[in-house]
Amino acid sequence: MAGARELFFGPPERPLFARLHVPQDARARAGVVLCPPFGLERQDSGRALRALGEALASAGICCLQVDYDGTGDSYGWSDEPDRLGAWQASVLAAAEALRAGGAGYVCLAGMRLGATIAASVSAEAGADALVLWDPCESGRSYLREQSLLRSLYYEQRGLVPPTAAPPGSGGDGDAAGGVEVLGATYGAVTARQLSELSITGSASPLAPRALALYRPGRRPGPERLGSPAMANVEVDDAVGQDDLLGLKDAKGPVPAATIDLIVSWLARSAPAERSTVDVAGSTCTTFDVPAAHGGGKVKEEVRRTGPNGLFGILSLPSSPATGVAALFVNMGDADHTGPSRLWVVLARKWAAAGVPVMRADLSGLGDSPPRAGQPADAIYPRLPGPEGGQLAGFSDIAEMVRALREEVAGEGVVVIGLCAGAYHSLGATLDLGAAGGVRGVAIVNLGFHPRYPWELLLPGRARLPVVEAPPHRGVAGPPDAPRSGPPAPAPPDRREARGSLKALVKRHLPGPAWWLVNRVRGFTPPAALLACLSRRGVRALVICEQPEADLLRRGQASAVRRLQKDGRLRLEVLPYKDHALLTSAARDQVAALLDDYMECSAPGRT
Amino acid sequence: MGSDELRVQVRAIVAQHARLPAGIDVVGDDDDLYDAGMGSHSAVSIMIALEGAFDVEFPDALLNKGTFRSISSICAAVTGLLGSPPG
Repeated sequence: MAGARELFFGPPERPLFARLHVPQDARARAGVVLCPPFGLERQDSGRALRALGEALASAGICCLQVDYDGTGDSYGWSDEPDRLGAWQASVLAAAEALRAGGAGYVCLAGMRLGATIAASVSAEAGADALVLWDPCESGRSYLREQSLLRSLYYEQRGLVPPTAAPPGSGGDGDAAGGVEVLGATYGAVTARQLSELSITGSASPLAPRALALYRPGRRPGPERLGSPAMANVEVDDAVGQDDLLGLKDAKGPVPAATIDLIVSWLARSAPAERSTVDVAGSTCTTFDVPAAHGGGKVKEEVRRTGPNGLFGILSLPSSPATGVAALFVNMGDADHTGPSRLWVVLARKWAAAGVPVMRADLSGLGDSPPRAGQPADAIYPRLPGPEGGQLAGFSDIAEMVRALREEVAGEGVVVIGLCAGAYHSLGATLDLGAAGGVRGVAIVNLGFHPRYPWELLLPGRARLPVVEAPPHRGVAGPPDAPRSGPPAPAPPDRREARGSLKALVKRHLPGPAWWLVNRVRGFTPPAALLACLSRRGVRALVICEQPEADLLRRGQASAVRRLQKDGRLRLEVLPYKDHALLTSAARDQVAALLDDYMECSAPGRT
Repeated sequence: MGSDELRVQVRAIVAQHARLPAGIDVVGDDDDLYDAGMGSHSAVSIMIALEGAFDVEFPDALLNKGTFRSISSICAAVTGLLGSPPG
């Protein structure tokens, strides 16, 4: 069976992170540099790109999926200058690494803007072949599409989209004219350089042979397909992209047919003979964090925790550590880099200040394998076997907390999660408590649905048979994965806008009446979990939007106030309706709140 | 191009790309497409298809929710672009 490993490679002062898929015997016919999309599309395409890497390795082709400079787990920050040049250099470095590792036939394969980037350096990389998977015809078309998506995202939430990114927010100095897209910000110079990229604009063929897969209705016209750049290009359909990248409320399936097509095409074009291919790299790296992001030296290590090899990257300070560590868990089915890479940015900042930080994938998600018998890509999987009913994520977090406590966190661990990650963080820390090594928990944008059986998270209750909850938006999962976990509530203001009597009563029912309703119904309000956390010695930070704060306080306002007054609970309400922190404003505010919480949680932090 | 012909063409593009659960036939020209189930990414696909079909480009000022709210609003935007000088 083919295998995969993660590594840092490339220039030591700006290390790149990559996932390398290799055939079982490490002998390959070719090497492929896989160039991922950017922003929200990178998050949505993760499973598909991983599936492509695995399929290529099974077909005897090595695949190196690189995180561009300033993205994913690679060194760099999005507000540094010359972003496009750095991204292109990342692809060139990956191609060179494959050649140096023994690959005699090197291909570039990219999806969306990754395809546009790959095409722009194909000739310089000496690529023997090129695959353009649902490419953005030009950087300009990509920015325009993202601009419309951003406008819609803001408007649907009743927000006014900024006309441009704040000067300096996307690098390139203070020049105005930067562009904010969902999940990323590009400086003015980068946006201009991106706009000048065009796949069909090259005066010479992109590669000796190329495959371009377009979504139905997005294939370029005859004039563009007939351009010199498109000589040697076979054109076919990219099936399933609208489902993979376009669904808001559920994960789309991995486009298996498209992956088969790409693998078959590359297998046909690559030489038959194999050679040993091994990319030189390391599972650890040390670098300097820029002063603008905290300053200091940080060491990062790829870690596999526990018997099932939970994947994480541990950021370690070079100065003596504070004794308190932080653990970021992934959000939903997104990976350990966090919402728009926020976990990476904060991990490096805090590590530079003396706090060890792990950013990790729960089992079956991101780079963490599922347990035997556990479904992959399920957001709320159960533990298999006799412990069925217990959510696997709780055990995953417990394993990582124990490992951190033993190695670097004698004073305890602060667990941080968003959405489903927040749910798992809450459940795990209720089990562990301070005695189990948890110092604090930060719960970001957890839906406090009033009808969910929150008592299932109380210690000792978590092993009861799980009550099936209404389908949760975003938990499509494999068909045989049981659906459970907190259902996403319809926004209360939308429910109540129906104007029904029930909605009116709900809106105007006073707090004490809600307390009585909860008692009569035997309902455990979510605030009871926070009280339990307090009794177990864990301080909590809850960051949420106003409707969620109202639900949390419903019938429990005085209890919540007491927890706040005692310093056991900090409740921060976001003015933005941005659950996944796709806007820079929401990200910046959450980052500031987490920064402050960590400063209070880790005494002795430099 | 007459307004009826434009409307037919726009409806066809919306039918192909909007991914409406109930289909386009139940949607009136002034009905809200977002309420009918059109998502953000579908709006992007419609934008791209319209630009290809009519050889126009939506300026930044029209890249917003209102432009793609209904068949009528889309037709109005395209009509305006067709009547505008190039560049």
